[in-house]
Amino acid sequence: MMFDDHLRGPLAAAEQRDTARGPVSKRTERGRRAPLWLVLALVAVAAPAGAQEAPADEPALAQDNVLFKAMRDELGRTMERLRLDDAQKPYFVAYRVRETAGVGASASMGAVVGRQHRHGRWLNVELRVGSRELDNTNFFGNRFAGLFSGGAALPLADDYENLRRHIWLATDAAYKQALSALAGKKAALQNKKQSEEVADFSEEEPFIAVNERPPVALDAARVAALARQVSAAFKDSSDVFLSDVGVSAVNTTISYLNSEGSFFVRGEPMVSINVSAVTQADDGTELSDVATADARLWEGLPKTEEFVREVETMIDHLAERRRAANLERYTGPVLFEGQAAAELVAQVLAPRLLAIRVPVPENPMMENMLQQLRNPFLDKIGARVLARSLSVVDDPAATDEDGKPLLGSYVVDDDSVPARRTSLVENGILKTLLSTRVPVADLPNSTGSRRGGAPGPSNLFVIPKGGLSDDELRAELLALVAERGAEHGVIVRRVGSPRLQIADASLLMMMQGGLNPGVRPLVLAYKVFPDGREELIRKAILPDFDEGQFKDIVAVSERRTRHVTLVTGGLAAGGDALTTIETPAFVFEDVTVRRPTEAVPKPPVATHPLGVRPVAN
Amino acid sequence: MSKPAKLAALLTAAVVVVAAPQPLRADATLKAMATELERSLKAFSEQPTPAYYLSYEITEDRTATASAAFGALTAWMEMDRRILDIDLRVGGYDLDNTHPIRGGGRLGFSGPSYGNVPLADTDPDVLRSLLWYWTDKKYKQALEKFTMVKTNVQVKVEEEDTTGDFSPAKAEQAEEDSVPLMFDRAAWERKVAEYSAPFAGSPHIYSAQASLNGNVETRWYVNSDGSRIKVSQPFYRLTLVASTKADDGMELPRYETFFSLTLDGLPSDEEVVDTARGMVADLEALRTAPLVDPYTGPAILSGRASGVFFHEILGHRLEGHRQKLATEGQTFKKMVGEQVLDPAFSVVFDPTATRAAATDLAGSYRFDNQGVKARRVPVIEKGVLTNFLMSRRPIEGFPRSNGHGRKNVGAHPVARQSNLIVEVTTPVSNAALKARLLEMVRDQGLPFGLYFEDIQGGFTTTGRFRPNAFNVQPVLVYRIYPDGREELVRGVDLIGTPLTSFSKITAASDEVAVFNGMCGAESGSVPVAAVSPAILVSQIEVQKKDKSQDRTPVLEPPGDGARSFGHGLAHGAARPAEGQ
Repeated sequence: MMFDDHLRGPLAAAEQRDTARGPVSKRTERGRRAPLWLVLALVAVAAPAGAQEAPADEPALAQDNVLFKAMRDELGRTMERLRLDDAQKPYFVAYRVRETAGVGASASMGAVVGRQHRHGRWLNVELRVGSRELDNTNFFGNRFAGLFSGGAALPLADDYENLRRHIWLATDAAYKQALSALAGKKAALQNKKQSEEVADFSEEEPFIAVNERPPVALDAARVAALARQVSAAFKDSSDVFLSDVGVSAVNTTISYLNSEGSFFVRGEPMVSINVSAVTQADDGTELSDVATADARLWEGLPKTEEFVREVETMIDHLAERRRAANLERYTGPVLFEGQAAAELVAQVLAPRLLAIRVPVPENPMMENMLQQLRNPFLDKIGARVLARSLSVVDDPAATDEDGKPLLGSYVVDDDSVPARRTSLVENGILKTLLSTRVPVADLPNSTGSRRGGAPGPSNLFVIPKGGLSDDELRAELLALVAERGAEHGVIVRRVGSPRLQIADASLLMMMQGGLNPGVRPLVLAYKVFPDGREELIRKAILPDFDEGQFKDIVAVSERRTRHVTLVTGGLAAGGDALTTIETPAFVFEDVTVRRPTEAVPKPPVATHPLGVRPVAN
Repeated sequence: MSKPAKLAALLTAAVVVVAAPQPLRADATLKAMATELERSLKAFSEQPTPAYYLSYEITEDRTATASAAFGALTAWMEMDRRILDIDLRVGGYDLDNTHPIRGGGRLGFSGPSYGNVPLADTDPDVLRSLLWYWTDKKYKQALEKFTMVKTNVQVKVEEEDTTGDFSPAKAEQAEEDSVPLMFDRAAWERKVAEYSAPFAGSPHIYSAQASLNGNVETRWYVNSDGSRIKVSQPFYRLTLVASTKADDGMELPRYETFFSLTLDGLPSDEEVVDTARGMVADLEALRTAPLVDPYTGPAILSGRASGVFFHEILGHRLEGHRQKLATEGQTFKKMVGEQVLDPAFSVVFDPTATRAAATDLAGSYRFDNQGVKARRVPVIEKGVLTNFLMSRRPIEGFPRSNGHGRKNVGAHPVARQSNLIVEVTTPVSNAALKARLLEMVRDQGLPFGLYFEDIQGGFTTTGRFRPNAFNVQPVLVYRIYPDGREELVRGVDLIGTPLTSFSKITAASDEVAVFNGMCGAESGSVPVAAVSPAILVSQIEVQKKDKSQDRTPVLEPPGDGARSFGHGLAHGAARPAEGQ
């Protein structure tokens, strides 16, 4: 595809979107000059045979962005001439350069325990040989050739010749790997009939975008001071055994260019505070919780005192849980509020809303294992997957009340496909899934949802039709409890987060959960009695909760709350892109809640060194 | 199970710094560690299964690295951290939780037992809280493991070596000041860019990197024997790595590493750039060098090659715990008192040596990771095997540590090498060594002998399951023809089995060389050195090197090819063998 008139083409559209939605800050506005050379570069790339022919404004381009010039020149040469003997030429090449500069510090109880400062630039080459119908990708080779197709550390300096040399060698390696993966894949497919004839790569309109953002200040002293200050909240607590406060400020810039004429630059500044804490109850039960804050810039973080208060509340809750009673087993109505409802969506529903292709394995023994990872929602389009009162929308352009983009927002995805609003579930019926350019059956095109290596949600909205007030919802829960003549119901307010940082706890969780960890243990769950009294539960799990239960939501709140989290799980695991989730509270009719069955370590043998008793009454 | 042990390439240069022992002044961190150790030990010794030994080791790493490729900076990184390691033992010296479990069934993963601790010495309370947390974790892991050990001992046949799991050691006291890391970011960035620039001069060099790394490792160590130790050791390493590919797909790398205990000890910019230019010339020559077929015959190993040879075939087999494990080959176990080498040869391991052949030695330290003072350990005296490298795990006939219990952070210490030094009573000149090689070639009617000038590293398997063999990977090998002519060749690895190879060492030169490297084995990566003269071996064997099947790049280099192609290639012919 080519553009007849780039000024009225997709770029213009992208810019309007930017302006309309507001993710382009003042600084980027000033930086609007930048898009001009990119537009010119586009013309050059999209020019048919002469991909390497210099456009009229070559000098300006060369001066303005050396990295793009190096990528473009090497891409042109690659598409035109890279061919080994009688083997096929690449039909598609994309260069993705991820530059990261960041500072980080971690602290424990007011003392800094680690500091880091680094800068690097990494090129990834996505090179495809064969055809859109059948190429070297979507293949799980014995030597992983199908998964990684070449990369290189690039010079940090904009040194044209040096950049080209690295891109040349990485492209060459990617080409050879691609040829061998394609041969392996063809051999693996030879003896079996594929049940689904799905193309390997979708056709999309070329798109260009510049989504620069002002960088976050990489202030090492500030990072360390904040880590120290927040972690000091744990200093006098005898209720938390181990805590870790990580603070980081990182500027990531993705520069992308492909052989179809698409390209983008996306700035992703991010400053994050990540607090993790672990302790043990008097029976040894291990308890943990996290508190996080994320923003594009320092100004976007909550005030330190405010955040410290949040951490103190977390500590108080851990203290209460140490002394709380266990819930042996409960099956019945459960109300999930706030963060708990959002994590339930993130951990159970959201991974099912992703169109992830199961690769062809080279080793037939892998077939069954890979098929187990297949998303069951691939077969449920048109079927009811949620309560009829609920709809789900993914909207990468969403903004907050002040018109600022949410943390999951972006203008262009990692395939250079424009971000768009996708209606996933309407009145309980599954309409589509979030996809990348890797098609799955019945979903031949991208929804602009590639985040990292796989599709991922951006800002996910669970929208209720109607909905009850908070009091009505609680009354509804109690009515259901009464209907069953049960002694109490259960309200869940916090669920364990995938952002828990303390190594042993999260590793253990990963080992126990495998690829599909289900719902993490509940952090704040309460028995609620007919008289309205609440009683905190020490620790509980949802042993058999799965996506099917979302059909059985019996009531939802009108009010929605918003949370930022990570969506991981299944073949999508590994992405670090943050997702915003906005959801009402849910009442499920029948959920099983029980105490964890794993072995519980004994409480600490020695008393705490500072003279406080480690085991509470 | 066999224990592959790998020695990665590193070379060296000048200037020595020996931290003078300081009087003990009760460092705040040591004090907090000692206080918590005493308190923990008391609590854990009152348990039904008491702890009988406890040590805390805190390792501080202050690290900075700058890397460049083809003349441009590619990455830099600075990092500071302190990591806590705990050795907590339940049971007793005879049998404790560290006893190896026989017959497979490795321990289930129970999570790491170490964590980060404060970077400053000003937070003793925070440090004590963290020590308390991790000691408790470690105790529970030890209990679980000890239960498995006791069961395993009951169900398996009696062990060949019935010595215990741990030996007593003297309490040591020492306290050094923390050494600062000398790091000037702007200067380092400029240097690595400059050092990697000569590689851009060749269109055939497909990867090239210059990397400058500074690291100060400061260790605080306390144990229940009463040891209180703080030592601080800087390392500076400059590494040049470049590779090309022959037309047949063979990857041809060259490595040069400079190691020093001080920043000033690294070579000058001019020297490094010259080295890089020499590497370019070597690589250009290697690309077109002829392949060698498998061959057996006499050879000379340069001092550095010989150092790696001794490290692989002798050093790893003298590590004490390998004489004990039922899965180990135990090559030398029953050979104490026997002649294993020519009587002209002696070998010592000496961590107290800091310098040899005008080069700092990477395997130097004052105390090992079990609080035992470093000492000189002769292992082969006049060709006779006399000793093993010992950690605090005893073996038959060798009940005590000799200060070689070493590890990387997070690992459990085992017996490891330090500075291996080969000493010869009747050395000859390099010229005489070559003359003797030519004599052997002529006597055996062979077309040529081999000279191994430089090596990339090597590995060895010491287990019983696989052949007990070694593989040393040379990067610069020359054929030496009967008329004395030398020709650079490529494509072979030096292989063999330990006892046979040893019996073939016949002479050594009077010039020693140093190989500094990182040695990887079950207790992680530790710095080591090997100091050796060039040696003449009456018979070695070489096998074909494993090679990549990928061809050279399809397209020519971008732009005008190389930026300054031709520079530095004037001396691209084969270099004469060292000392000839």
